[in-house]
Amino acid sequence: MDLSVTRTVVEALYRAYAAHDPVQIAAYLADDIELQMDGPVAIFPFCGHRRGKAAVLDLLTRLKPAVLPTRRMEPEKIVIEGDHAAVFARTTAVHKQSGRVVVFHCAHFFTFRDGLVAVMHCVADTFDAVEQVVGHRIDAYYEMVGGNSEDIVAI
Amino acid sequence: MSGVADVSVPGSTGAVSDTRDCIATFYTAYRSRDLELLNAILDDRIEWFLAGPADHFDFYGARHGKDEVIEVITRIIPCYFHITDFEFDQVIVEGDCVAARGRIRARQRDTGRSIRYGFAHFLQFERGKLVALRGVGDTFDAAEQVVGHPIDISRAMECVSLMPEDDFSAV
Repeated sequence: MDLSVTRTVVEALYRAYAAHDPVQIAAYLADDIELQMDGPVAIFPFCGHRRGKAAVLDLLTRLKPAVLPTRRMEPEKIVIEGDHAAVFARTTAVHKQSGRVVVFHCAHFFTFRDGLVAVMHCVADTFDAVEQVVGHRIDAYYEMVGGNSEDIVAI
Repeated sequence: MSGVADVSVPGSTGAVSDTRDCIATFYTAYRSRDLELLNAILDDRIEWFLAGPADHFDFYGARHGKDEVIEVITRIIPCYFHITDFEFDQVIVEGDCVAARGRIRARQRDTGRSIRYGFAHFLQFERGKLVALRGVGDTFDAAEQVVGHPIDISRAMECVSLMPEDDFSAV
């Protein structure tokens, strides 16, 4: 089977990603890279879509580390086919504001072009990450009434 | 071969073609909750793990063996929603190993509301049977769609004691 992208490349990319090193990361990114990070933007403002090497570098080396810097990424499964690679990993990060250590599962899907990452898509267990950031189990079924109880009293 | 999204398209080589057939069978069985198909595609010793808030939605977490996986697909998940489709954006096949990414479409059980959230599955097949699945999804988005309202993250879950305090102090 022809594996255009090697495990060595994927593992090296992961190390660069976890190190937040702009020089190391930049070496893997295509100029027109598209990155999608699924998650609640209101809680994790670095989630969402980015286009272009400068925007993605800024996200990975400044915006995300300012909120939730990665300490370790442990790939549990790597699947590679041609120019496509996917990694299932356990991520350890630190919530900068509270100092809490956050450990959660995530998956990264990469599409390479000429040896560089052209598309990257991140999916993570965001509920788990949010609970660890706020430091308590969240009552998902509690529904805010009108968003502000003081408004209800004033009616 | 590339990371195409249509799992029903056979590949050009025997092994990959077989794997793509297995993928198609598995997702058809998962979506339809067809017992015969599930029995045919799931290995007796399957290891299954869906990362997510198992405290709230008990289909998340680990399952061991075919019976537990069939139970989660046919009984536990439908307590929350009925899966109507798996939309694939990327399917990567390396021998017996598969990584699939896309969106799950479902209908909330009580209200019939449409649910759609991102998922990623890592599958491993052996001799035409699924022996391992590890899944992760945008679980915060999924949770908000299942409960049907924005989640207030400042609201902590209350712990309910199963034993009155008087009884507890008397132990």
